[in-house]
Amino acid sequence: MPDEKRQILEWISPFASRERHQAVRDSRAEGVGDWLLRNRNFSTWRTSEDRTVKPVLFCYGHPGAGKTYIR
Amino acid sequence: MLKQQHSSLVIDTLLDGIDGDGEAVAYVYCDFSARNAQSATTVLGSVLRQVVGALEKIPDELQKVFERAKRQADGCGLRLPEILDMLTKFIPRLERGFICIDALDEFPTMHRAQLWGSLQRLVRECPNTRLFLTGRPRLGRKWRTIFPKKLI
Repeated sequence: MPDEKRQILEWISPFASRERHQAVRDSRAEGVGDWLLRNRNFSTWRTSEDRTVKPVLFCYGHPGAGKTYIR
Repeated sequence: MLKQQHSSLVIDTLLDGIDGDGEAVAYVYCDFSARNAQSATTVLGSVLRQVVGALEKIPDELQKVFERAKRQADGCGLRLPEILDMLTKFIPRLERGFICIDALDEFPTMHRAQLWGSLQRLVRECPNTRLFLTGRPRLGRKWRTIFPKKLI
């Protein structure tokens, strides 16, 4: 990436979430969330070109409950 | 923690699937321990950074604002209205703009109305925005009223 672009991005916001993302990813247990990727709502949300598709996917869970749901 | 892991999985899946210049994946993890530093401005500023990073070149209007800020002694950063104006201009230049925000319940209460309203505006003005949000069920009910008929 050219220096100027980097400089402008840094000026827009010093907050890059990459480090945090990397840390979470490294701690991710095998198989966690596979159900989510297979969920039909998820694939529609991700790939549909249809402008009438619902654009907001909310995934909720109780802290420590061990399950996360899409609804 | 588990929600976070789901978010990271979704983010990775989206990042892996990016096709050329057409898509941007911007993500933010809300963090209770950083609550004094998180606001609608910091979250959407970070989103703007990631959206602009995905564009082929820096848009002229952004370049100009940057040059002007550089010349000023205090060199202050972008404010929320400017960030939102730019996002609503730049996201439509993409095929799709994914915005993932993890753990909304950890986002400071005092700034929520502003963040919720900003995301509402993005979804309304940029139909190619896709939001992925995580939080506790109580927040899900709230979001259902913020995005009637738009929430899965």
